[in-house]
Amino acid sequence: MKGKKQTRDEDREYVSLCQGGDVNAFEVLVERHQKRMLNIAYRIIGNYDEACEMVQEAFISAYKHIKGFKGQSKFSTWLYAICINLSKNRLRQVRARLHREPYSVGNPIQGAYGQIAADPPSSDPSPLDRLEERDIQQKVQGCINALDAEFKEVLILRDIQGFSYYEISDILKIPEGTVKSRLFRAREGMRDCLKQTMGDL
Amino acid sequence: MECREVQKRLSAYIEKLVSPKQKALIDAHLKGCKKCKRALADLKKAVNYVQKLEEVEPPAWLVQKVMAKVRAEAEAKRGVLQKIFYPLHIKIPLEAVALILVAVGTIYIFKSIQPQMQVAQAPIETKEAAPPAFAPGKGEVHDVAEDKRPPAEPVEQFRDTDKARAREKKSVGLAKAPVEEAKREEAAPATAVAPTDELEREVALSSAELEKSALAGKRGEEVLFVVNVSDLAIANRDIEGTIRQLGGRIIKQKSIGDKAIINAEIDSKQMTELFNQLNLIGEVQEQSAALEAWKGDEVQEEGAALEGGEGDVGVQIELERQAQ
Repeated sequence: MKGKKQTRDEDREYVSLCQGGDVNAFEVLVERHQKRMLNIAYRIIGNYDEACEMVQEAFISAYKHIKGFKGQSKFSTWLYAICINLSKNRLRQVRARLHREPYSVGNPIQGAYGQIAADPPSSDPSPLDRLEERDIQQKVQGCINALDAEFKEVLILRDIQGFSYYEISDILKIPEGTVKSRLFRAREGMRDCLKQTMGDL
Repeated sequence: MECREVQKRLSAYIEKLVSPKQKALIDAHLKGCKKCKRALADLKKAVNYVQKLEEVEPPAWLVQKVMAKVRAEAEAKRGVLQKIFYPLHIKIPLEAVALILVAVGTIYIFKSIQPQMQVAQAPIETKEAAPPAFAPGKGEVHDVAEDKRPPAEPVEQFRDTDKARAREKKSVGLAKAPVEEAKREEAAPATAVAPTDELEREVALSSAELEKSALAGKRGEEVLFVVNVSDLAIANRDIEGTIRQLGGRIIKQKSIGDKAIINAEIDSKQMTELFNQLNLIGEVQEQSAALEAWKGDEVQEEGAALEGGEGDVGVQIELERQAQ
């Protein structure tokens, strides 16, 4: 499971084009990464519109500072770190605005911020099942919202985005051991939260 | 292993991050403990729920919106950069204006300086005018010498050779012609030295011609005297003294064989006096018409002469040793 030394960065070519002033090359990078960034931001903030906002900001910030990107890590790693930081900051602002206390693992459901905007899977046959599925997704997101940021981001990157420990350690700039211990605590928190919300798993 | 310890390690157990020894212990415990088994199942289910979360799709406008902002950003950045660095748009008009300013400035300065430059150049012009007055004479000497020779040579040829031979030669003549011409050319320099009389005349004539044309320019032109003297060195010295006495200055002196040329500048009012003095030193053979002009000026309008007194006049005195 140990992350290998950095693999080939497929973005490198376009990044250097951007650094040379080619705006169109940046569009390729936006196309490539927008979905993943949106999903990360969405799971952190829990609000689709806010997440879209964050993705835009992250891309513009990345463009402004692209000359400062030296390529020590993959471009995507750098880009996602920007997105995660912006999203975390936004979440803090939103919560401060709503005069709400940060959520704890103990009381997960109340004050869950954001709704799941995704369409339910079309493979789902019955409307009842669809409703149930939607309900579950909402509850899972609610529990994610309830996690502290440091646990939440690791869970999102690992269990939702499927990054390797090495990549997560690179994005979040924390040791791999810390990534693992945070992930385990986040999962246990999710289990306890979901159990409390749904009764039986 | 106790339940608490097992449950603490369940996450690592799922990720297969426990040592084989610990794995064996946990496996053994799970077989007999329903509570821990359930905890493991719940953990797996929780992870499964999270992993099953659906992805959201970005809105179609996201890329456009990002790119619009990025392009605006790039535009603004480039705008600033262009103002500072890029030669296009801003600087070319600047450069053009600068160039025009420099050009206009140069013309203006040149025009305002020009009168001064003419004054400054006047003596230099007279200096430079002197050699040409002499040089064309030399050139004409060559011509004269060559013109003279050709008629003489054929006569000699006919004297030396028989008619028959001449006929024979006629056929060869074409081939020989270049050789003869070469001979003639060799002869030319030798003849050029000999006839000094001619040379002097040529010089005098040509310079007189020059003076005539120079007269058109009136003042500031050179006045020419040709003086016959018995001793060049003494005359030279005397004239030097005379010019200094009259407040003039000597610009150039040179002597070639039987001739000496003195270029000097002298106050126009002293011109008549100089003429008189020269007459004492030697016999003034010729004088350019310019002198007449000066004399006329002095007689007719003294005021103008006085005015002109500030400007010195270039004088060329040519000394020739008198043939004895």
